[in-house]
Amino acid sequence: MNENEKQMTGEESLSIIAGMINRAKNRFSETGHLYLLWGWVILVCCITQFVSLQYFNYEKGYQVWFLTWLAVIYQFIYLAKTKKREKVKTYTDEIMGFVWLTFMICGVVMVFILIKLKVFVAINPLILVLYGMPTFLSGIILKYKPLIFGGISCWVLAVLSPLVPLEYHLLLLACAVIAAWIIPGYLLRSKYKKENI
Amino acid sequence: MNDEKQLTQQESLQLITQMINQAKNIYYESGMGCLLWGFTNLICFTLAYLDATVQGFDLPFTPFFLLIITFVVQLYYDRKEAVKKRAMATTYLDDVHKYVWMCFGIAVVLFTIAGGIANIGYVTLPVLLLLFGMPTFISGCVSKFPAMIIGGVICWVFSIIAFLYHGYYAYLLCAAGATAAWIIPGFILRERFKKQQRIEEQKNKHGV
Repeated sequence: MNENEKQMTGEESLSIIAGMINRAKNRFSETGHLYLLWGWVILVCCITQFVSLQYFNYEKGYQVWFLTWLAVIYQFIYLAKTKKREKVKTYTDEIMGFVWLTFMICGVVMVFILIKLKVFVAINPLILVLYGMPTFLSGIILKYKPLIFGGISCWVLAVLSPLVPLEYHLLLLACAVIAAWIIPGYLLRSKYKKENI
Repeated sequence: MNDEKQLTQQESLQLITQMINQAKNIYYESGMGCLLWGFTNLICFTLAYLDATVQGFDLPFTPFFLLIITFVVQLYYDRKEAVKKRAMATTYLDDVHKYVWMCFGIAVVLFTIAGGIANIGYVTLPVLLLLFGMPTFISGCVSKFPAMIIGGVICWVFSIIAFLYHGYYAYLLCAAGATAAWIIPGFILRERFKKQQRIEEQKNKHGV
């Protein structure tokens, strides 16, 4: 959409074609690694905080969420290494990158502000709506049903969350990451292994 | 058939590139959708602000009903576009834009329902601004269209302001967000679309 409509280079065209062919063949470079990483990190954080609050009355259980910083550092290193190994970055990969970048920016800003303002009742519905967006979009762009179902599950949980007592919201979040990231992550991994033997 | 020229690798690539560029030009966004939703949101949020702050300015209905009318217009417009495009292939970018905005629509509706049940009050408007920014930013990045990228970022900045200093003027921030995210990019797109059409007309006239 640049001035006078940007003309594509041969390389860009090839990237689009490669992405389209892979999409049509339902084959992609997604290993599921990052879905599993984030799925498990968030699940561990949710369960730890829930258990520490409910069974040990320990209010500082939220500190377990600092684990997410370690996950961010690991992700940066992992992505840098993957980028070096990658032969071609397809157009689909690029779009997925934008989708998850947007989710990350919005998620971080929102959680930070809502916690600062102590609007705990709004955190869960919003986070679940946000979780659903990139998951559903990734599923629909990659034509991969487990991710589409994962995204829809997040949205259903988002609507249900105001009906659930606040202390159980962490369990809803745990269910959401299992449906949206952990299950699709394992399925993606096994698909990737099958296709790349 | 014997005289049929065999294309070299380079020529094949050039041909494919040319075909992709042609498809892109055919489906060049006209900016109509952006302008339609941008102006609807601008009107809705401005009316909502006036309704909440100006004495004697009491609307008998919530201005957000206008969104339903716009949605119906959008459906009609989409149907017309779909019929027009059926004869040709849709581009990958068309699909991506469609999915991104569809996802945004679902998220807004669901959040409004969940937020209403949870009675989150003033948080609703900043969150809506945050959600406005998401598809705008993604569409801008995917299309490499800076006006939309900037529009998305402006929505996020307005969202943070609305969060930290909440009050009725959050409605005005939403109206300003709609202007930055959709109306301005919409006019830029419209201008380029017209320019593109003029070029096409000239090409047709000269039989190129």
